[in-house]
Amino acid sequence: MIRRIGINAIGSGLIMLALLPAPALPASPSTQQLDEVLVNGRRVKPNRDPQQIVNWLKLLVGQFRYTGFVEVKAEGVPSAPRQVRGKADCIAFGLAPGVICRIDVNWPEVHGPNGEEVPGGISSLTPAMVQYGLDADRLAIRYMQVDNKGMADRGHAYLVSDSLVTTAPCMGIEGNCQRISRITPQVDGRIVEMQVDFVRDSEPIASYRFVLRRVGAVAEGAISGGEP
Amino acid sequence: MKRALPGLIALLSVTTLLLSVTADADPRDIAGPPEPATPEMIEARRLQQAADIATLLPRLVGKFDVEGVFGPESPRPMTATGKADCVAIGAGPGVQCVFHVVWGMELQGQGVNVRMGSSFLAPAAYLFGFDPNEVVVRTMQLDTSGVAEDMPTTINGDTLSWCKGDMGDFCYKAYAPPEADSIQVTLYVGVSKVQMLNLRMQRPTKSAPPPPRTSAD
Repeated sequence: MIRRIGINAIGSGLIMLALLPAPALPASPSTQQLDEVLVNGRRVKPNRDPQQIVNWLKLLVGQFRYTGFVEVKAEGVPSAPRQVRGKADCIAFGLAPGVICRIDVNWPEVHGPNGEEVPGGISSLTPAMVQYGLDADRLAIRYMQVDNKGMADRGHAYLVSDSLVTTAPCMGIEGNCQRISRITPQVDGRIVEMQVDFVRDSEPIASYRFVLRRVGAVAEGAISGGEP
Repeated sequence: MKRALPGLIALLSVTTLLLSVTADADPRDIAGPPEPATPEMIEARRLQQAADIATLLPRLVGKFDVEGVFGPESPRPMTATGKADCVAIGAGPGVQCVFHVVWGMELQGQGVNVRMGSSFLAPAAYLFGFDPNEVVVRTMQLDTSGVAEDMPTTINGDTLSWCKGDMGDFCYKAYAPPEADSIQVTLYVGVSKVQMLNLRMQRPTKSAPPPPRTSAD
């Protein structure tokens, strides 16, 4: 039996063929064994509407509490998730607005077997500052984060299905390492989900799962950056 | 026509001469692509850039009164005034500066004051950090409209320069000598580098040291 399933695949316009292994469960009237599943991948176009980009940015404005966990996947390192604690204070800046966030996020340190640093083992976000703004040339969102070591992580990204998705080289990690991040605010603005995956040579080496819970009311409209 | 003929002949002669020189040129004389950087060169550059940023960026930290001139080379320069607040990001060399500087002319007429000219630094934020992958200093500008721009940045001695536009259409230069009470910021525009803005960032009291670099808060 072949079943066709349509999904929205990001960044792929190809039709993918997934061959699933036959399940070990015995077939019953309520379950059917599938030999093949055809999955149609359809490219989801980035949202380039400046007003919607600005509306999305407004969802980041406010004060948040961080929860979540960090997983470090390195040889000889306990893989238990590390509980995250922290806060963010994000202000609207300028007319559009842009957003400036001061964040302070920490988790219990983890080192390699010989005490060496491992990717994601120590938070460099204690504190850090992030700026987001409309990239008027690309109709995208430009961002830059500077951590407590002065390291800048920057680029531009597009809104796809209400998520800001970025893929960039890992900062300060050797080898063929990519950092894939996804920021998804809920529509009501109460919660913002952030996930960051560090992948080196196609192997995950660390992942962050942050849940930002808003403290106080959702900001309405743009607020001027004000006088320092 | 007779007058133009000698000029035309001269132009053709020069063109012919140039073409012959180009044709005779030894292909080995033409500079090829630069040699790829060795890991040692990249590491040395990384260390130098890291040292430069660690030296210069902390000099920006503090609260400043800002005074200067918009259009110093124009027939009608305008006085610029405002404030700047530059904070360190943790214990590292990263810095963020927020400017709130206005300029313009007050025109009075029939009991109504009208302000001419609008500032693009009211407010504007600049975030400075070090990109270890590309071994360069990075600056992101958030301007008064909230629009973000990446601005290639260089450090040369006591001067930090960050530019907007591929051709360096707008280039800020901040001259920050060690232990100075003021920082000179100049905005140059265009290829001819016309001064558009000349600002002096002055620490409010001469004896006030920069705030401790412990937190961005």
